[in-house]
Amino acid sequence: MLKKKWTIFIAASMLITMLAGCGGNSGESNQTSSLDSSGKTTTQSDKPVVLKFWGGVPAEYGPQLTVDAFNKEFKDKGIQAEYIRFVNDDTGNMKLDTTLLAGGDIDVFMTYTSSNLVKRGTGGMALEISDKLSKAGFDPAKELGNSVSPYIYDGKVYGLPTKMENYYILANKNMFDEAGIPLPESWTYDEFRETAKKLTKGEGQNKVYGMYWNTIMEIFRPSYIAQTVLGSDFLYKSGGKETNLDNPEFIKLNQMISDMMWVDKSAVTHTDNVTQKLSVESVFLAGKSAMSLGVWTIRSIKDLEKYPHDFVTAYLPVPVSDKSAAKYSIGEGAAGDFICVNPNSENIDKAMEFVMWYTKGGMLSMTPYGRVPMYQGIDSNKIVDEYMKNGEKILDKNTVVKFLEKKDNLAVSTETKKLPEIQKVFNDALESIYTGKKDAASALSEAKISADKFLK
Amino acid sequence: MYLKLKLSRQLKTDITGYTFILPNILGMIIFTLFPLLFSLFISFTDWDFTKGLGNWNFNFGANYIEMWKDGWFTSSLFNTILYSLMVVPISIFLALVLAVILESYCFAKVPMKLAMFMPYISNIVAVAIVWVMMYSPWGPFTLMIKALGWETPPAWLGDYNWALIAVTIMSIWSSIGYNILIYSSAIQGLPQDVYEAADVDGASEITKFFKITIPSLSPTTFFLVITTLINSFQVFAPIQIMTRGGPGTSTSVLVYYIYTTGFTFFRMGYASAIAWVLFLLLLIVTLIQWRGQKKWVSYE
Repeated sequence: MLKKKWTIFIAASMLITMLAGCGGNSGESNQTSSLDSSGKTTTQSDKPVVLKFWGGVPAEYGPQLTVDAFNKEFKDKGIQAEYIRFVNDDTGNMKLDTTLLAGGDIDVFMTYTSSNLVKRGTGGMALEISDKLSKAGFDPAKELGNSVSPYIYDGKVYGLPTKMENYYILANKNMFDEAGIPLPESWTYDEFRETAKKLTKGEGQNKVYGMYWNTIMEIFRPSYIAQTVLGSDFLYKSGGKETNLDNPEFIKLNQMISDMMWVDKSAVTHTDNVTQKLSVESVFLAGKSAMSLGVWTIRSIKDLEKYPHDFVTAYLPVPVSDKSAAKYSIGEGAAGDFICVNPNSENIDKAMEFVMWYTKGGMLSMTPYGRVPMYQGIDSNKIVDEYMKNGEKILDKNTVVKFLEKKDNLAVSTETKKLPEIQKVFNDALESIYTGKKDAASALSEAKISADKFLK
Repeated sequence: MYLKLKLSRQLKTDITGYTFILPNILGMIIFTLFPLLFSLFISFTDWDFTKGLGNWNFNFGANYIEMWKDGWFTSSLFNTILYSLMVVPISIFLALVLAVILESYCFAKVPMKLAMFMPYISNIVAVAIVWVMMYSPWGPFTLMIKALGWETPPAWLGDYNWALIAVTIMSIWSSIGYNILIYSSAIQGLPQDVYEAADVDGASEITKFFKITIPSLSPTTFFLVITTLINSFQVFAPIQIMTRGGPGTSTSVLVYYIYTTGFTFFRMGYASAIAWVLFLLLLIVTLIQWRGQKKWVSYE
């Protein structure tokens, strides 16, 4: 009997402590939140608002410098910022989305693709800021250039594009000089292919290839080159009811890539790429290819400790199928790095101050790591200087300047209907082309048929 | 009066009991039961994960019909079955042979067993990355095969026909240690008198292996077949790291496709439907094995 009493007592006390545990927690959080709000209302000056800024770039590649600069400038205005990194992949973006949906502790965040921007804007995860911008006297089209217009949806701004995108080919200038080939200002596919052939030398493990297509990171990337002729929304036929995968431009481009890999043997094959898990760093920066795709690897190019090299990297425009038909400069989308405000933030106005500061030049501390500001009010020499920082000896300034020039003929993708599915079909087809299994014409026309099913 | 007291005492005991298991039950309900039922529910909707909770329409099993017309699904299903058909028999038979050799003909049993068990307890991500290097054209595995006389070995992970086999080889290598361990402990428990009787009758080692060892280990084999099969149907990590389903769809397996549909296409409803089909498949296969065991499993 006594024993039983004890068990009941222990059980009951366990239950009570458990409940008390819950209660204690909620009590604590109540306390802190009340402290917060009182701190805000009464003593704003000694306890600044700390904005939580989420971005996908590792803190040491610019964001920390940016936030530090902001904190220094806004010290007396009662605003501070703190950078939190999320990994910019599917999983990381999902984490950001769920945190936003759950009303999490985020004030400002970056969005990296237009499809995510639309999704977040229409899903209540990113604040519509057009009226706030007009109140601040900021007209995106005027201040950031015409290429922002595709990212304004029926007058709604879900995030300000801050970074200009452009798409260039990396070239090992020393190898070009050695082979006596001048750096081209523009070139056709045929000229490009010839050059790659001339630059290929050696055999086996010591072979130096003319071109490294970097098809492993995203097999889709080289196909952006077709945008020079096809322009915006190059994946869809007009009307958006059919995909454009069988377009002759795609066929010509991808057949050339495949031929360079398997016929000329002047480019690293996709198979080698997959089986050895290669990268721009392990091929181009190791001196194993004369050219590559991947201006975005500027962080690695400048990191001489991790990737020691002494050659000069030049930026070359992408080849085009036909010089007279190529009307567009390409980006993967002309603008990127959309800075957004969390609609559930408690400090929306202060967050907007940060957004404006960042867009209007605060982001310049990111430029040495490859992020080129869109804001027209920044002196272009300053941008060049920032971009060249710590890379004066290994970057070819003459060609980099051309890359950094403001361009008004950027091709911009806006149609995103069923894009992930269409891209997967496209990727499967590209894989069969780049492994030499199928020719481009048949693989792409088959791909078009299966991709079209998603648009019905 | 007495009855009432007794009832309440019973009640008290119940309360005590349930209080003790309450934390566990709560955890089970929140983290297992609820997600389970929720996934069953959304598998009948067209829920797009990005549209937020509540924005779904019922499509009355359309997901379950659609998947059979979906080429990515059917090839993933095919690859899963093919993979299991390779992994299960090879890894179990090889483990049995190795366990017998280890137990009866081997010096330094313990270090040997440990060496074979190492891959199993190593992190699968690390193991997969090491194997990517092994398979590369300049990797040890490829060079070894070249040295053995195969002049143009396949591109392994980059080859449509060999990629799945390459993953299978790695999976067998990494999981075999566990099977060996289970088999060796079962072998140690086998009655010696049967073997002695066979020796008296003049049976050869091979005959003893096939007529005594295999039949008396059948309960262990049965257990391993079921667990290995379930594991191989759920393979994900090596695929994600080594091939990402490629080239083409040649190594896309069901769980990887569920992941793609859910987190690349954001079609949670469809992904859940596939997950439930995978569950049903596993259930059916296991039930068939359970029925079939009467024919070949003997518990003495």
